[in-house]
Amino acid sequence: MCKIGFERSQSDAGIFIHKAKNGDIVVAMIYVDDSSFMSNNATLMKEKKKAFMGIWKCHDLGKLKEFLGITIGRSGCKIILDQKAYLTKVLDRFGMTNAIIANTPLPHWYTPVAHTGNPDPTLRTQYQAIIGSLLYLMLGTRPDIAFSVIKLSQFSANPSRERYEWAKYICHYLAGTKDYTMVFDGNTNKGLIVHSDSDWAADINFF
Amino acid sequence: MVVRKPGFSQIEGIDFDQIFSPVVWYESIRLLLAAAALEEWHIEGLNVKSAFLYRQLDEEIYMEQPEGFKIHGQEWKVLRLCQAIYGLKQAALAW
Repeated sequence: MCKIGFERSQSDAGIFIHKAKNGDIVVAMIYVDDSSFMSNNATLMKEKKKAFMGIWKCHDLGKLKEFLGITIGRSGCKIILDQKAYLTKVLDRFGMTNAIIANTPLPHWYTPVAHTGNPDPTLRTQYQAIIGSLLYLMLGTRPDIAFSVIKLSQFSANPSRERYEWAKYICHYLAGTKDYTMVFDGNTNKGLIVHSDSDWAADINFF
Repeated sequence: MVVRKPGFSQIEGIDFDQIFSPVVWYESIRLLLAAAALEEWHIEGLNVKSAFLYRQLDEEIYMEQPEGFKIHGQEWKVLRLCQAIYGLKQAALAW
């Protein structure tokens, strides 16, 4: 990447940046063999893509429609992300395709506590599989389930049957919200807004 | 050294050093896409063909002749790898 004028980002090894003298910028995101180029200057981006393809043989995918299982839709300044295909597969795998719909990821009164009985290896594997799938969705495009998934994932070394049912509860919620997408709307002109949480989401287990 | 089952007999520091591939964080993807939405950037994708096979090997690694491709009368010989092959630990670091 350095050969074609890119510099690796300090904070993320998968990001490469090329800054032109006139202030134009090309950013490349690399995930092993999948890559995406973005730029304010289409000509410069094409040039960099060509240079990249000169080193590695590539399929040119044109306008980015999908990246790492995330579908990317676009209309002008709006970018719309979803993982519907993956979500459908997850619901199917856990037999939740036609599940009764829950309105929230978890009921507000539910607080998980550590399971003190002996761990059941089969249950643990099932539990970790479901939590893993939920984590993947959460990281991709579903921050709405983040709190619940993280809550449940805290004790995944020794889950109880009850805990497993609660993980499925999140699937009930997902079954009813399959069509949720993540939208970045550039038209709002609000720029990037950053939030932080300084009390670990008021978690009594970790105070 | 000789790779018998590729990937199972390599020793760190001798047969390979770094085995990671560049992997972008999901946070970065979302951040950049958000920035792209704000700035109306152009976004295009590329998929590298057989990315694992690009790397020229600096290390000296041999493999046994694969079944069906043995040279008749010289079955005892091993092959030296010039480029990465699937199954090598460092194959993923093609970049």
